[in-house]
Amino acid sequence: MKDLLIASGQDGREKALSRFLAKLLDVGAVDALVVPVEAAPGVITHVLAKDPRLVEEAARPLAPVMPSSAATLVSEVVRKRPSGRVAALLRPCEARALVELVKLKQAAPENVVAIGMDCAGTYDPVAYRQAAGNVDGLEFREACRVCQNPAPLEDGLPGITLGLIGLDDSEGIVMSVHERLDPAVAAVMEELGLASGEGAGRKRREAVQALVQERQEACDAFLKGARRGAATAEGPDPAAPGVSGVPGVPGIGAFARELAACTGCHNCRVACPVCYCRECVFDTDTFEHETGQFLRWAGRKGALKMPSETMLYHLTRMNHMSLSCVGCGQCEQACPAHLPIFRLFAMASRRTQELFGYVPGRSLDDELPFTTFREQELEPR
Amino acid sequence: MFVCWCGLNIGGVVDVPRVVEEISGCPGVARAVDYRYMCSDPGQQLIRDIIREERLDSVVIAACSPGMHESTFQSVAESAGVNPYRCEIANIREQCSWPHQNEPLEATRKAVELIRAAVEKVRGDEALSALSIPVTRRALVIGAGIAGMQAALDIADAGHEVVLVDRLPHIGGHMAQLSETFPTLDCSQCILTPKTSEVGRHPGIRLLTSSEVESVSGYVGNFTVKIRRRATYVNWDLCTGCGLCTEKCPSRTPSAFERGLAEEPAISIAFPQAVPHKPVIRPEACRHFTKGKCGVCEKVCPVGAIDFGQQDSLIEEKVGAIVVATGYDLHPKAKVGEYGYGVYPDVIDGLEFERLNSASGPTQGQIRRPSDGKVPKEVVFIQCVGSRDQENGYPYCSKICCMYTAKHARLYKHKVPDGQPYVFYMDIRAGGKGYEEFVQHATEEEGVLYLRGRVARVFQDGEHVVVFGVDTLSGKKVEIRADMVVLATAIVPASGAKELARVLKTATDEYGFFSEAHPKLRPVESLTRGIYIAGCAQAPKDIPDTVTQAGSSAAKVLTLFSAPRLSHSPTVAAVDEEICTGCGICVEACAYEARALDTRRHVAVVNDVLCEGCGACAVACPNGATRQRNMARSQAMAMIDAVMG
Repeated sequence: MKDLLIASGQDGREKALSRFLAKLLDVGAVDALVVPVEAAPGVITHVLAKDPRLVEEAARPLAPVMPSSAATLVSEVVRKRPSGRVAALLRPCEARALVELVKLKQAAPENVVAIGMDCAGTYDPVAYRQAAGNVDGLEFREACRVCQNPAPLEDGLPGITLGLIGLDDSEGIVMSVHERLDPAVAAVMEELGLASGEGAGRKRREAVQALVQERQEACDAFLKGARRGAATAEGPDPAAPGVSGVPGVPGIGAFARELAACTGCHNCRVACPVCYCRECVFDTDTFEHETGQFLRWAGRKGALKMPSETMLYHLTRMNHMSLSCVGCGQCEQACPAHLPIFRLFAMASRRTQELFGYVPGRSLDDELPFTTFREQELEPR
Repeated sequence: MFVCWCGLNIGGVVDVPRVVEEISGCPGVARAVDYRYMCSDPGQQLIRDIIREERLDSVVIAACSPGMHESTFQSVAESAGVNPYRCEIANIREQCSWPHQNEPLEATRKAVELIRAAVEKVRGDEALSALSIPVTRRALVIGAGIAGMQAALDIADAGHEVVLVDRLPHIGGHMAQLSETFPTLDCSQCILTPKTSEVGRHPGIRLLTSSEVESVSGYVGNFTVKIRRRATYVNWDLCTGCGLCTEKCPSRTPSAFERGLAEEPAISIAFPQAVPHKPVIRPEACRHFTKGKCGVCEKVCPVGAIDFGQQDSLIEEKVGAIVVATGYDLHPKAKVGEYGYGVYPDVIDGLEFERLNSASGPTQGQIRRPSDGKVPKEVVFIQCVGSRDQENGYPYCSKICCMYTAKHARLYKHKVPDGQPYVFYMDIRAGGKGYEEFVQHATEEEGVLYLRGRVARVFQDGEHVVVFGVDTLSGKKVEIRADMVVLATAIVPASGAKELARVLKTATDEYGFFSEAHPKLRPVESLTRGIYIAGCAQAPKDIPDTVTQAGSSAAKVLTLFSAPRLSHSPTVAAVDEEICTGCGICVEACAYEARALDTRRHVAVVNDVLCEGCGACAVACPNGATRQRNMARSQAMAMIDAVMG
């Protein structure tokens, strides 16, 4: 992969990138582009753009917010009988989520050109909007602060990579074309007349390495703290049946307390880029109960938490999603009750993903653990 | 709602009247009654009468395992006008009264919960009708030893075509290697050759030797089998079996048929009575293949049958039933690790002794030991080598060793009247017609010395193989300076049995013997419908038992072939296409190839007749778009709730 340079013009590298993206549409390298735009001051949203002029004028490819995961949006566009080549600007977590969706047959990869970009972190969209895009005094979201993948992974969906980390605004953006990208598209990219970005590429790689190291430490500390917090801060619930013998798992009682404020809105499910069912089982008649049923439950326990099924809902989602969880934190960002859903998923998915040696979104060649069976897969290692 | 006492089996533990009282009040229960034996004729009549009286649309029977009487009660329900798939069994015997014999109060409570759950399930059951599938009336028999040949002959004699596959170039299996057979001491080849030649000429049997089953797809009545026929490098259509090539072949390597006691040419026919009587070239031993020169056989063959360029061929066969008769191996030398087996040339196993004793064997039937060809004057036979040995072998009894060791000792005595056979044994297991008398004859009439005890050590001392053991009956240590030692090594499943089980999608036990559907009542059916087991593929067996089981498996195949169509349970998976997301997780979860993606509509589909109703796909489906007929998620949730009280 050769490093090329998208040089910053006088109006900065974001504009230079917008012009580059517009050019991809203009020269016909792609038919459409999923890209963020600024709809109002501080209000970032995605569009599926066909018009290069619109991209050049309104695109905000580097806006440090992720209103929703572009993976979900791309999947919506290319899930069924895709035609036309769709490019999407993807943060590393979005790109990884899209790989998972491809494996789950919710996106046809052959029609997608992934424009993966470095991402040091994003802000809460509400805070960003309230500050009208002025990020002074804002802090990255928790999921971003402990994100170990600030740069796109190399074996993801074919496309191009945009390197930003370690380079300031005047130094531009390092662009490289994946070897696996459709040669026709790659040829067009290379004809755009970009200069070599070898120096900037080296500088960026070193910066990425350092950041990854820093983030790994941050993540380990975060998970350790989260486990200890869950185990001790609130104290074990004497009434709750604990999950005995598993260090760091404080039991169902602590889990229930963490989720006690859940309103059952299911926003976390809507925001999750990998949660893919057309109709969730929790919306089906399986969970439409008769009055007598509710009364029986209430009678058995003395009182029934309302809305009901909170625990079953979150455990089911965790069961379905923890192996494919890319740690984007969209669930927590979408939660009106500010529940620590990202933290709970991070704790669970670290364990389950380690158990199967599975890295979600790393490569299309890694098989989903749910769809494979190995005789010894659950034996203690 | 009918509760069975099963005599004291249930009624002796569970308080049945109390259960009836508690269930009577459950929502949806029209009536609850009990009876001493619900499966008896009066019990069945009681069910019919009450169904009609109460105009029931579904019934729950609380009794033994559905494996025992589900079909009985389904047909009782059907005869009284209730859909058979709206008849549910609550297993309050195997899952309640038996395991909780000492806790009658808890058992009674659990019985109530199990019945409540079954009531909840039956309330959600749909009225279904059985699916119907066609039957291909041809059978595949895997393995052409005595078991496979007998099964193939029985099926073919009844007028159905049989494809008989063996991986060796000839049929007959291990029985072809034996000299005489117990308890009659008749010549093994003499009783075997009528069978082999009948198989060879039977118009209804397609014989595929040097062949192995590579893949099996489909389901009962409709299997598609791919068989790899390995290249023999001889065109059997031209070959007359004259044997000139085998005489002239310059290569000599140890013969597997002779258990390494003799050598054979690279192009050979394993034994004189072999069927088919045609040679094969073993490329690993052939100079043409290993060194690139020679070709003597090609030059001498009068009909030009040698074909060095022959390739493996893949043969596809469609069959309705499969009989697995893959037989056994002996515990391999490398694994015995005791008694100097594989180290000292005069320590041999039972099959090697058979070859020494065989008229067509390496010594023309004279008992001569392998090291120097001398006639051994003292021979020690050791039983249970690897069998009944938890630590170094297998816990099971290999069943035939007591008998064949007695046979060996007697045959030895017949050929070497001044020789002395000793037998070290743990117990003598001689159950079988004429078996005990046969062993008695060895000990009392023929001077075979039986020593009860284990052998501690065997070592070579000059010309002798010294055996140290203990005679536990006299308590004395025994040292025998023997000339030869014969080990009765354990019977193990034929190599590749586990892999074949995987190909057939059926199960083996922990050792690799094929599992039967029920150890007593369905001993020749495998756990997969349409696949049957015969002979040592299932467990160690002697020839009479093997032939009996082979006949029985043939009878099962013929039963299957007796009707033009089969019925298939309708409690299979189904897809709600409205909510199916087409992720394909169900496809991967299915072990029966019953699930697929319809890529055009982007939804998953079910092939009803392939579906075994195991429910794996329904569990894997994240949003319940796949559901198991009569085990919907709502039913499962209601059942759990009922159990929770």
